[in-house]
Amino acid sequence: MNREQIHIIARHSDWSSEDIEKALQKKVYPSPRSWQLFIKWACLAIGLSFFVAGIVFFFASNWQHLHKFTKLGILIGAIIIVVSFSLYPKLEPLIRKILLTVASVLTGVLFAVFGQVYQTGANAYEMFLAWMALTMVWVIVAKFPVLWLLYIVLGNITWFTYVAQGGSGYIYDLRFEINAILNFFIFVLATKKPALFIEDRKIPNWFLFIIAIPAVAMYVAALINALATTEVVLPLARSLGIGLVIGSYLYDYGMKRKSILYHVLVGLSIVLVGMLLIGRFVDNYANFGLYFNSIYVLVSVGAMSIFFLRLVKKWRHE
Amino acid sequence: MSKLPEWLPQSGIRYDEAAIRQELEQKKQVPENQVVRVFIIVGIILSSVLLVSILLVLGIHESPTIMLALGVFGYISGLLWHRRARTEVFDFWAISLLVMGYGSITYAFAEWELNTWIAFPIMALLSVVSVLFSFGFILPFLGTLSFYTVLLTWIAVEKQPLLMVLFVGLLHLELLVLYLAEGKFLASFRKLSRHFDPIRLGTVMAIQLALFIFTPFYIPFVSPEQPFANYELYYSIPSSVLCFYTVYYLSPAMGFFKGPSKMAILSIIGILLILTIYAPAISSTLLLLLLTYYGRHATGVVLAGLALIYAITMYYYEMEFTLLAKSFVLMGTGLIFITGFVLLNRFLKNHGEER
Repeated sequence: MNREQIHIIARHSDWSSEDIEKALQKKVYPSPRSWQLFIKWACLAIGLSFFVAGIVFFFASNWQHLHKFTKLGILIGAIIIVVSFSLYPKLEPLIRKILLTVASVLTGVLFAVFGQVYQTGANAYEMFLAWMALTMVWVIVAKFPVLWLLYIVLGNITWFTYVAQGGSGYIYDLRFEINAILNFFIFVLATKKPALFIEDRKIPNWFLFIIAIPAVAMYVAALINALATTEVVLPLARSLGIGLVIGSYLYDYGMKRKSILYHVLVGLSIVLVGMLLIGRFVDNYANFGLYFNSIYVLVSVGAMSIFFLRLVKKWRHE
Repeated sequence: MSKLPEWLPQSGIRYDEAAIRQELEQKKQVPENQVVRVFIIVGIILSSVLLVSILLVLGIHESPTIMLALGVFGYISGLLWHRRARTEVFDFWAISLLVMGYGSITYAFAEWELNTWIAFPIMALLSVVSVLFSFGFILPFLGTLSFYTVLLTWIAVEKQPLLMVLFVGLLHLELLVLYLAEGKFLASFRKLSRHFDPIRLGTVMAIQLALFIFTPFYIPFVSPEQPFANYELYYSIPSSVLCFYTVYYLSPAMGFFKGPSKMAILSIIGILLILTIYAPAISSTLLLLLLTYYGRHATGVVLAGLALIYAITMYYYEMEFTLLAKSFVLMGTGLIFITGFVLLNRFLKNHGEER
C-alpha cells in the first residue's frame, strides 16, 4: 500500500485519523534508520563542505603574515593528510571517496595560491587544465559520481576559459557545438562503460541526467548562436545535426532505461528550438509569427505530454 | 477493474467500494509523473504568456474593459473546459486558457488602478475557486500558489510588515499541520483531501517565495528594506520555535527516544537555531527540510535543500567579519559537523542500527 492508496481509501471511508496515521507511519514515513543515515550523511557533507570552504576563504583572504612557503606548505600538507586518510583501508569506502573529492578541491586551491605567489602569468585555462591533469588519477581510481561531476564541471570551465583566452577564431565560432559534443561523449561513455564512473552499482540516474543537461543546453546555445549570424544555413545545419544525434541517443537511452527524464529534456529542447526557428524564419508581418508560435506551443506541448504520459503508463504496466 | 487491498474488507471500516475501485482504476489509467508535470507547467506558462502577448500586440490592452471581458471569458471557459476535459491535451489547453484569463483580469485591474481592497480579494477568490472546482494536480497547485502570491503581494503593497510576519507564521503552521497531522487532515477534510499534494507543494513554494521576495531575506535589489530594527527576530523566533518543536516531536520517529541521545539532538538543534537567530531563512528552510523528509515528499526535499544551501551561503556572505575570520568560522563549523558525523557513526555502530 502506498500513500496514494491510503488517500483514496481515506477519502471514501470512515477510516479514523489515528488509523490513517498508523498506516502512514508503517507504509510511507521514513524509519528511524533512514532518519539516522540521513542525518549522518548530511553531517558529513555539510561538515566537509564548510571545512573546504573555510580553507578556500583562508587563502582567498591572502593573509599577509604567512610566508609563501607556509601557505603552500599548509596546502600540500593538507592534501597529503587527506589523501593518506583516503588510503586507510578500515574507513568506509564512501568516506575514502569523499576524502579524495576534498583532496581534488584542495589541489585547485594549491594552484591558485601558487599562481598568486609566483605571479606565473599563466592563462586561467592553463591552471584549470593543470588541475584536471593532476586530479585525473584520483577521479579514475575513486569511481565516485560526485567527484566525476566536479571533474566534468572543471572540464567545462577549462573549455570556455580556453576558448576565451587561447582558442583560435574558428574554435571560438564552434565553441558551443564542440562543448555539446564533449558533454555528449561523456554521457555516452557513462552509459556504455558505467564501470569507469561507479563501482559495483548501476550508474545513478541523477548523475546521467545532470551530464545530459549541458549537452542539450549547448546544442540549443549553438542554435541560438547560429540564428544570430548572417550566414545562417551552415551553422544552423550543423547545430541541428548535432541536436538530432544527441536527442536521438537520449531518447533511445530513456526508452531502454524506462526513464521519462530524458524524453522530457529532449521535448523541452524541441519546444524551444521550434520557437526560435519560427521566431527567425516566419515573417512577423501582422504578428503572424507570434500567432504561429502560440499554436506551435499549444500543439507541441499538448502532443508531447500525451506521449510522455502514455509511455509512463506503458512502463508501469510492464 | 482495480482490486481492493486485501485487508480492507476485514478491517471493520465502512467504505464506498465502487468509489474506491473507480478512483484506483482512474489512477491506473492516467498515471502521474512529476517530471511530466513540470513539462506541462512550463508549457502552460509559455502558452499563457504567448496568448496574453497576442492580446497586447492586437492593441486590446488599450481597452482594460475588453481585457477584463476576455479575461473573464478565458477564466470561466478554461475552468469549465478543465472540468469536462477527458484527455491530457484538452486539459493542458483548458488550463492555459484559464491562466491567460487570470493574467488578463490582473492586467485590467492594474490598468484601472483599482482599489487594492477590491482587486486583491477578487484575485484571491478566483484562485480559491480554481482550486475548489478543479481536478488533478496542476490547476490546484497553480491555484494554491497564486492564492498565496496574491495575499503576499497585497500585504506588501499595503506596507504592513507585521501582517507579513503573521501571514508567514501562519503559512509555517499550515505546513506543520499538513505534514505532521496528515492523518487528521485526511479524516477531517475528506473531500478536499484530493488536493492534498498540490496544496502542500503550493504552500512549500509560497513560504520560499515569501522569504526570498517579500521579506528582506535574502535577494538584494528585489527584497524590500528592513522596516524596523531587529525585524529578523519577528520571523526567526516563530520559525525557530516551530523547528525546535518539530525536532522534539519527530525525535522518537528518528530513533532518539529518551535519555542522552534525545537531549543531545535537542541541544544541538537549539544551539544551531540560537546561532542563526538573525537569519530567519535558515530556521525556516531547515523546518521545511525536516517536514518534507518526514513526509517523504521528494520535490519538497529538493526545494527545501536548495533553499537551505542558499540561505546558509547568504548567512556567511552577509557576516560582517573579515575574510580571514569568516574562514575560521567556516572551518570551525565544518569541524563541528564532522564531529557530529563521527559521534553519530559510533552511536549507530554501537546500537547496531546500521544493519
